[in-house]
Amino acid sequence: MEKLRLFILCLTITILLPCLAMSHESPIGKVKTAKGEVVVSRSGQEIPLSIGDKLYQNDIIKTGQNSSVGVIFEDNTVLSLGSQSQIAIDEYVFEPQKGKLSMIASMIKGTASYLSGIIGRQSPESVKIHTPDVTIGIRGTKFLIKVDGSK
Amino acid sequence: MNYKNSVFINKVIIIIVSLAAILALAGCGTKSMVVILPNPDGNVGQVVVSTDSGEQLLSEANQSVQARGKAASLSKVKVLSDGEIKSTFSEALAAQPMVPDQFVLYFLHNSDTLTPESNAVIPEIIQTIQKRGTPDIIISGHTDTVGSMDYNYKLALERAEVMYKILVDKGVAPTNIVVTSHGEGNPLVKTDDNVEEPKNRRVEVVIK
Repeated sequence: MEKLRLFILCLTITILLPCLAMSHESPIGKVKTAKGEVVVSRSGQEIPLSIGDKLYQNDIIKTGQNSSVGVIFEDNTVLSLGSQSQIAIDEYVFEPQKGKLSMIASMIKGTASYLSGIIGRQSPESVKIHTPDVTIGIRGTKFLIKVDGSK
Repeated sequence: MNYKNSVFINKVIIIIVSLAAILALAGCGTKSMVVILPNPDGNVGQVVVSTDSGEQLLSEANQSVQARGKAASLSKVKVLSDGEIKSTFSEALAAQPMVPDQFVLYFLHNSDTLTPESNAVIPEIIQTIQKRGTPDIIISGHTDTVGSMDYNYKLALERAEVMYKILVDKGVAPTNIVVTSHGEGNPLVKTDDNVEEPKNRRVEVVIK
């Protein structure tokens, strides 16, 4: 009886552990376009990516020849890569309710297009994109807001 | 009042950066190029490109700058033609997902009822959801900075949940909707703490 209980306990832990490990890592974005060979390198494993797949912090997104990928992040940042490109999402924090926002990425090779989202608007100083040669920062401190409304 | 318009104006500081980190064929050096493009609304944001030896501000459409290695100095700013941009970045630009559609909605004071103007936007939201055919609909609640962060988180969540009910009642698949709260952390109008700002007490529907 005691052994059975121990067995069930171990089994439960084995089943629950991956769930627990996943639960504190929430997705940071989603693949919206994909063409050709697109993979993500995650915890040392290479996983093919297709439309609808979720992305996580520390993911390295890679494209092959004649390939491309487009991603929309949780904060509406829009990022796309051309062929033979590689970008690592080193840090991505989107918790506006706690005032925690940041996005740090490393473009390792290839081409990319980047359109900033809420993080870039609310906390431009927290956005950094590194390449082997330069660091790119956003300076969005000028606010021009007009809200038409109550006549 | 056009709510979509107000959101577009809010996008003024959003910028597009295109960058290429091209491994030079000869030697072990790398070369990076950064180009700033206009936002979808036509405005141009600002980008600072820096190396160990200096920095360069890009703030006009199609301005580009290059650097070889962190220690090297940045090239002069060059305005690229559309053709030059296309020849280098056509793949990445073609892979760009459609920019998310955003709608801002307001409730009547202390109430679960949308203002008449916001209510009039609902059909456009439904149309956009159908047109994009996407399962990614995000409803976020927002408050002004009056009250604690925790209180505002909950209050904003309640607002978002009211909006969720409205969309589901209109036939939007519940499984396609994510309800979130940004509390006081994503204001439309930046204010100090504890400032009443009706424009910040809102719900946003983003269709990605």
